[in-house]
Amino acid sequence: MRPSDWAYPYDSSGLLQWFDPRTRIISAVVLTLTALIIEKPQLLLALMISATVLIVLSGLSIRQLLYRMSAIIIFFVLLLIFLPMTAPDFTMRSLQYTTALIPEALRIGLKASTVMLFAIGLVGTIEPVSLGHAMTHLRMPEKLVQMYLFTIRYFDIFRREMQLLHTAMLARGFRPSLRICAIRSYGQLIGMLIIRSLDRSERVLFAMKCRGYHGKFYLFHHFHFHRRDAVFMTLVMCAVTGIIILEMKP
Amino acid sequence: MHIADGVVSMPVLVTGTLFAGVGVAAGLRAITPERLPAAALVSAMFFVASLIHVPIGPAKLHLVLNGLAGLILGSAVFPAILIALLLQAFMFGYGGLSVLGLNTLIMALPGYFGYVLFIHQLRKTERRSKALLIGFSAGACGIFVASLLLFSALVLSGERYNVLASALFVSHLPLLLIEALVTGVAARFLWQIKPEILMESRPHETV
Repeated sequence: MRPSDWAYPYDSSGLLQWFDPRTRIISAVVLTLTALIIEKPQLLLALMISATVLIVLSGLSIRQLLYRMSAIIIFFVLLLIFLPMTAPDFTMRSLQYTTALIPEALRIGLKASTVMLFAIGLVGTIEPVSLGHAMTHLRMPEKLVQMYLFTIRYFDIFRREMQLLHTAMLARGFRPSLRICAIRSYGQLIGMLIIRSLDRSERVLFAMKCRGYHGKFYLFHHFHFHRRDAVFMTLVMCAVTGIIILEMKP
Repeated sequence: MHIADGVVSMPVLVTGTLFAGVGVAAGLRAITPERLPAAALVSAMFFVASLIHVPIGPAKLHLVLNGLAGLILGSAVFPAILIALLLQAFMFGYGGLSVLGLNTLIMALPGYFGYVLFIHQLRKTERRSKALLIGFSAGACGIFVASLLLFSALVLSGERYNVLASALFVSHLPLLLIEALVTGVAARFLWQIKPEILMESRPHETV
């Protein structure tokens, strides 16, 4: 069950793989919330550094990391361009660019990338099926988890199906463009994909019913909460408490 | 269409997440065990279809398809988009954990609006051109309302985002046209080839 080989690093072999997925999800949530409420730039920087350490521990390659951070980087550039334009002394006519709001943009960018790094390092490196498993243990709605598991199971199959149809279109002289006939072909491609996915879902449902499906997935293997998880959690909690105390201090 | 973490103010974030939670809960409630595979596979399909890139000048644009997803999934569009965003967050870095709820609301609510406004007309219509027009409106509604929600989330978070919000809103307008056309064609295609997909009691769900 691999969703896709090109983007999801579930076979990363970093140190973080030692920890229970539940530990990692809870830590990610706690650290994200902390990063959101922190306003002091020094503390944000400290959080950012700890997030970077976690990324190093997670064993992601630089390429994978840059790929995932590209959206944040583009967003950050947009912030740097547009935020200073809202400063009171900015005028469109002379295109006078003020630097007054640049620190603000930097702070927001720092916050956004810190939260993203926590998410990528701690949760993004959990093997997708284990993530679903952990979501069940964390009392997420069962149907949501089942939908998630179906999505990761069929993602790659549908991607291949789409490529198949797309190749067939290309072979018949389709050229991607914005002309009305190309748009019509895109629409029909998507319609066809939907019909195929519904047909497949029918077959899947029959097959599952034959195996006794009645709306529940049973779990046989359970996670174990080790001492190292307790140590990791304690470390995270201590760090978070320390940072919040420092933030409260005037 | 995605908001990054740490941008919107706390009240906006909390309100958005709460509303998204209500939507997801309602959507999940509507999915019976019989319907679950269909809803799940269609939502996986939408995730894949949103990877289709349309060239627009030198840039490439990826389709959102929330209008079409709304037409087909109804209220199940909320959990479908939540899962798509969860996967996108880890695979492409589009927004982290904290904005998951808000982004879900921004994209799923317009799809659901489109469903409420247009599905009855699409079911009733007899003419091909009208099916196209209804699909077009649903697609346009999907992107327009989503851009509007994005705009208001940013503006409500502080005056400093006014210019950024307007720029983002304007930059979504070309997408609106393409998305509306594609949704229109796809809706007409489904209406013509497999109209039972758009009906309330779908044959494949009452096994």
